[in-house]
Amino acid sequence: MAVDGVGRFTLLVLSVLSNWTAIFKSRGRLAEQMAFVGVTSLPLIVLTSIFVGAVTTWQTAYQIKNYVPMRYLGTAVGRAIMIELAPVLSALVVAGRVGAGMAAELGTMKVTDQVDALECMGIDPVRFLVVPRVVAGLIMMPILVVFADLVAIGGAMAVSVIFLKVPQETFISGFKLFFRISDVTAGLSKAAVFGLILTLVGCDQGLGARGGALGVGRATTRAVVIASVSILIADYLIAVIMFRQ
Amino acid sequence: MIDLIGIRKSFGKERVLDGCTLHIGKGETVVVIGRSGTGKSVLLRHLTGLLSPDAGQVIVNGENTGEFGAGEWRALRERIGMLFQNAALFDSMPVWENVGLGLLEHTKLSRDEVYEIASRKLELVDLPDVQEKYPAELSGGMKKRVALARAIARDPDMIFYDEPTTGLDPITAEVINELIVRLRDHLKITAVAVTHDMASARKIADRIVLLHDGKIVGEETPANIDATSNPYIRQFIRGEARGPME
Repeated sequence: MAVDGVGRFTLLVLSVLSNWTAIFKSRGRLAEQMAFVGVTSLPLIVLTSIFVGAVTTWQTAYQIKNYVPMRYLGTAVGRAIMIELAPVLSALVVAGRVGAGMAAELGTMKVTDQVDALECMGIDPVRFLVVPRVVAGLIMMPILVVFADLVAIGGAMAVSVIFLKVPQETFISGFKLFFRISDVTAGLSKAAVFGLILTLVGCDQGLGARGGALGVGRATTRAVVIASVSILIADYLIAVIMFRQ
Repeated sequence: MIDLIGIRKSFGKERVLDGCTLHIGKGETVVVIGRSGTGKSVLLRHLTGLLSPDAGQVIVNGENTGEFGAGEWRALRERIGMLFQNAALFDSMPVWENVGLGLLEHTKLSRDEVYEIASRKLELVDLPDVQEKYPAELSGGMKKRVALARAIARDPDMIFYDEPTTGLDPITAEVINELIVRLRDHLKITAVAVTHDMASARKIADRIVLLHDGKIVGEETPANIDATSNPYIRQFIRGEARGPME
């Protein structure tokens, strides 16, 4: 079964690659999917990012107090958020929402013969259904992470100023101290990869659904689990490649 | 026009089609009857390329579809209409877009032009004012008729019906039957229907064939079916529990 799954996923990726130019003919469907992946996910990303920033600041302050001056709080928190926390946690949240949604939608289409109906009309389901979703994930995840970065750093600064009594100027100067634009681009590059992963996995599981509502439910669960684990594995591999010791 | 030659198909250890052979002539409507689970829909899916046979050949217009690549299948499917058992309408699209999707994807017609064509096809199936509705707003019979309009939207040469009247009340079923007969008589479309609804089969068929144990085991015309000497068909149409299909 696992070998079948890997084979099916590989074929899907190859099919997406060979059909990607179809996106220029599917601008309407791309816009719909960009709204679904990006715009409708934004409130959730903002909410989670506030608390990601807040808890990161609180935990960092707890760990460095008595050892490291608090003027480095902004440095540690800012880089952790931009490089790691905003991309990874946003991707996990979006995998739970968008990846599951895509698996459920395509799974329902599969078990109700809508995908077969597309094929019978001479319309490639990968070109019609998968490519707009994958491209939307690729484009919108980095944009969501830009918002996540801003909101999380805002949340971090609010906690440090209000509860930890670290002045705003101190937090900002610490944040600027070792700020590198490459940290931001690294985080956004990760986000793009995670966007690809969660949409591809969601579509693959949806199109592989069998056996009615039960099958769609299982496909949805698998989509979230596989996408989440894949995101964490990809995060490690990207770290090894991008941040050589 | 369509020849199925010795088709075999198994799913795991279960053999569904076991050397099935059937000829469908140009402009002919053949109805495949048989008990539930005998592989009627599987047979139909071989005609559209949704399934490939383990052995045997599907010949359409003299061409062996087993040798088709994606491009050839796409070209063939542009000449095929398919009515699915559960209509299989796209939930996310309004009715007119469901009907016109093939035109939107395969032609350079504008959306307005496709809307006009879809509206005409919907009028053909007696649904003049549903263009902007979504499938969830339609009854089962209306969905079937929309699916029929979609199947004929590109004026196909061949049309395949999977249980066209199953789950419908007798009056709606009769409306669907009359639409199919109208398509047969006026447009001379080659058609294959699978059903276990004998009233529908008698109404729409030029020829009725019975699928059992993965093979075609009998055939009759609707006019002669009640006097058939074929024991399988006799048992099926009389609904007898005892007989060769026990």
